[in-house]
Amino acid sequence: MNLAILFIEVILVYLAILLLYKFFKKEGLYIFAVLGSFISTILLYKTIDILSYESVLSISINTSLFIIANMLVQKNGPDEIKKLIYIILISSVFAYIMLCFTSLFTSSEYNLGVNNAYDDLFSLDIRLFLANLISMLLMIIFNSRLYHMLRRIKNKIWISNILSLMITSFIESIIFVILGYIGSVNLVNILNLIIVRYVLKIFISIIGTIDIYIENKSN
Amino acid sequence: MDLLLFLIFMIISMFSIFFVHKLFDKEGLLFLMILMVGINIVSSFKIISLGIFNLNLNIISYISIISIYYIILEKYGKKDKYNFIKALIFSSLFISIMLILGSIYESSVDDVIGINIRMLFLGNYRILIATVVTVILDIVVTESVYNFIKPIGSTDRIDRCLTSALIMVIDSVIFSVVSYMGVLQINAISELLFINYLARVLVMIIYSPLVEYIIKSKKVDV
Repeated sequence: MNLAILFIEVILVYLAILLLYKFFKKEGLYIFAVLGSFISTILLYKTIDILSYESVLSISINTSLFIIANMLVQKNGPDEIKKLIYIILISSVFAYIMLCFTSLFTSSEYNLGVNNAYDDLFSLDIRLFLANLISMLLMIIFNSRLYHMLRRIKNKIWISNILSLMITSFIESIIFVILGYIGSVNLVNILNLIIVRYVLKIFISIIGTIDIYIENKSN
Repeated sequence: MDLLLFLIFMIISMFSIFFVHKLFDKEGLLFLMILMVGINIVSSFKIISLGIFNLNLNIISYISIISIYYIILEKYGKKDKYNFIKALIFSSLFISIMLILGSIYESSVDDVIGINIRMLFLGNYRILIATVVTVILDIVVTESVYNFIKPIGSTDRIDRCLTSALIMVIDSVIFSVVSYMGVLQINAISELLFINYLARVLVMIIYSPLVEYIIKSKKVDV
């Protein structure tokens, strides 16, 4: 069931990127970065089982941010990534602060169950948030340079995209899991989390290559 | 204490509009609007207690969206206005779909957060629908109502407040009825409706000098 939902989610995310690109061109990709940063800040804390292995929920959004980074590099070169990094950083931090702030208000007696669920949800764990943000930003920078370099050597979009994401996803998964979970789960689970995250990211990245092709064709 | 938090929340939102405009101009306002749409959707689920009054928490983010729209409407061209509306509709729908999808996933055994996500976004999908519908509706009709009121009112600042006050009557009724009918008692819904409306108008009046200042800070770029 979760695998089917993940598949639908991935399709929706990539469709959204294409629509935004069609409507707003380059600015649409930045709009997606803001949207992705916001949604990722909320959904990051839920863990789900995919084929009996545990993973965090925001993985498709997280991977799609790497894809839009590659789309920007494809069209505008690696310098464009600086702006993307600032947008993701500011959006994520703003969303985190504002959402945590909203949980500080005293809840009304009306709809108390919902208010309590809200407060529990938005007492957001800063460790996981920072782990996600740091690993994502570092690896987007690294990935964009690697992608650009591979594009110049191989000149094939799918090779550059998959190869760069295979390398950076592996490092990103290690950094995220170590920063987010070390000390709170045992070593076997740490290894499981890294492997599952890595495999899912590769699967999602492969589908994302279609977006880069379509963007390239539309030019 | 809650009143102080409310004021701080409002000041942060107002300053973010000011700084984003100052540093990144219309592109920054567009991105801030998207973040505010997200905060508006999410915070609409919480009802807070402000002294003796109960009200929804999304009032400030909602007024921030409306204020940004007035700035775009008055200061920039038609293309920017349409881009703003398109981005608002797209982001409202996309965030809602992603939150619903996120709620449908079966949580893992150790997960403690999933139940809250499911309870909020799936269990109260009516609040989600009401928030998205009302904010889109408001933005779509604002320009027409504003143009209608302009010849009647005295200053632009008053016209903007009057426009929002008028639209918010319908907005508050739709939001309260769709979200809480059958969940809360009629008395509670009426109270929420009335207090939400008054609070929105009050916050809009507080925001109006900032909107006026930003609109007049540079020549109109059409």
